[in-house]
Amino acid sequence: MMLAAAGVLLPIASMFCVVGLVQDGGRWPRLWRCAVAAGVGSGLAALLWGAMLAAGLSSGVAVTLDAIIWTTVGAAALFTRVRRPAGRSVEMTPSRTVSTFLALALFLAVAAIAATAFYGQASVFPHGNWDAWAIWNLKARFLARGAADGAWREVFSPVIGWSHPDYPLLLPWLVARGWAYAGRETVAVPIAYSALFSVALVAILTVSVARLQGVTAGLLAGAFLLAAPAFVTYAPVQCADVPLAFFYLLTIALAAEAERSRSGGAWLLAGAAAGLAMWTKNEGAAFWLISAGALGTAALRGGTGRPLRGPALFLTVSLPLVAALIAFKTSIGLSNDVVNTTTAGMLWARLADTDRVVLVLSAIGRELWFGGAEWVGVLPVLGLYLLAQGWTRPIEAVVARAGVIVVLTLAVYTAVYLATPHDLAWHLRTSLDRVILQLLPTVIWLGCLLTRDAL
Amino acid sequence: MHLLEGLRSLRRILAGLAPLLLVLPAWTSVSDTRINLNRVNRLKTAGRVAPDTGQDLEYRELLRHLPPRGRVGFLFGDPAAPPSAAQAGRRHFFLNYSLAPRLLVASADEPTVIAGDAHARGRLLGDGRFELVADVGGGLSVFRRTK
Repeated sequence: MMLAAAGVLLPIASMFCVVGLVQDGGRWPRLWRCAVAAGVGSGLAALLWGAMLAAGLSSGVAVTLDAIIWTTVGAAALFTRVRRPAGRSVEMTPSRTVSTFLALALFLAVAAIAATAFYGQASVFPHGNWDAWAIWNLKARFLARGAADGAWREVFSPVIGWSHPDYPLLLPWLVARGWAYAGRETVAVPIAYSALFSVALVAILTVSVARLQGVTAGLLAGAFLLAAPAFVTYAPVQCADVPLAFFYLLTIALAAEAERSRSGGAWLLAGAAAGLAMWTKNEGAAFWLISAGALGTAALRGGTGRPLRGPALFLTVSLPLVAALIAFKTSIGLSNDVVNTTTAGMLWARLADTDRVVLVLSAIGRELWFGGAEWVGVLPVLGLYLLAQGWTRPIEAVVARAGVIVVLTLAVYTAVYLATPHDLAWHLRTSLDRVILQLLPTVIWLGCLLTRDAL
Repeated sequence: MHLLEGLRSLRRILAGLAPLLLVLPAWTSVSDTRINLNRVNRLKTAGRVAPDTGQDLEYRELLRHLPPRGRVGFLFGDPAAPPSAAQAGRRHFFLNYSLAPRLLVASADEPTVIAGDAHARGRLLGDGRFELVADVGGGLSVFRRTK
């Protein structure tokens, strides 16, 4: 178990040193650096593991090489950093004491509920929910058990089409890597990664809003997410939706950080986060295209000096990840259940069917209102808070851009539901709550930054 | 003027109270969590592992009777009264999860076939092309095609 913990923590510690190296716009808070390193370090470790598996390395050799690579990366970043002068510290906006205390109390109360819920769910369902063992952990077992004789390639077999063989493998590689370090399969690894991405997601949301809008607003943002039943339900289930939500929010938050502090390092990390979103779930591809387009357009329209420097840095890191994903998808030649079974004529007929449009829009509306709750979800509460508090005028460019990215991503999701060849009611019932959850943290981030001043 | 100030005060009060409304969605998680905590207590008291862990261990008993990789047939249910799609899917998918990297095919046209319940076992026992290799409990049996 100690070796499994070392396997999980090694890339995070190394990436923590790398993040320290690229924080050129001023010193970032430790919690923020930890959360960025947890997601990006784990994501890159998964891709490295996949590359070593594809190269035919045995688990033992791969673990040794993996440990050497991550130790070298961390040591190099640490050595380079101590030779540089320390950057200035960027302070968070000071907040009023009583309101901050109340926000902290609310944050801690809902965090306690979420943590208890995580413990209960992970104890009763240690292999995760249906999608976890039928898709994500199933793939991890193929990759781990079939590493020695090449049987892991059966993970792409159409015989198990129900497990979506075309899904990207970031999460299964990550779990298989943890098992290789541990020397055995243990449910502790996928549970640990579920906890890691959930905590890192809350940390990124809280710290990012705190840095841009003040500590009270940051704590309220964290409380909004922790109170969301959809987040509490899906955080422990070992599926890829919470990691995807993490990479979505990280991309948006780092892009905002990059503009605020003119940080080239933040642009590089935002590119990594967007690329890793593509490797987490197929929906990440739409998000990458939309965010790259929105960042480029915004730079061209409003930039001064070298407006394309940021998007260029973003693409420097994310384009190789995109190219690798395209090469991966092309090499396995898999079809997608939604895209490849639909002709242009069928697509048009479905899009023009007003009953389908009404069904999809009303289901999305219900999900946005309830979000897994019995009476009212967190988004209507956020809306009420925004109305009562008032919103910032004019709306900041980074917030407006993030809003455009969220709306366009939701529009793509809506179009996929309209075009689905599956039974529409079944498709909505079995996936809409998870899909909306992917965007929920970014919507909360947006809502809290739109609010004029926290309490 | 008074009306405007009153409205401003009302907005301030609403802004202060709005985050407290988070109690409503959070309460949904509380009631679900209570159910899971009761289950955890019952499992601890009975000294049992989680149901999915028990099922995974039970299914893994099949491993020593199966080829190390490749396709394995799987029969489940009575064709005259087939199980629900959810029931059949749960049995099939979780079994493949336990037996990975083998590929479970819902067919008897493979050299090795798993019978997932008593109905399937009876059908294969009555089929002269198969011989019983092992019964591993939980209604699971392994058959080998002889002809």
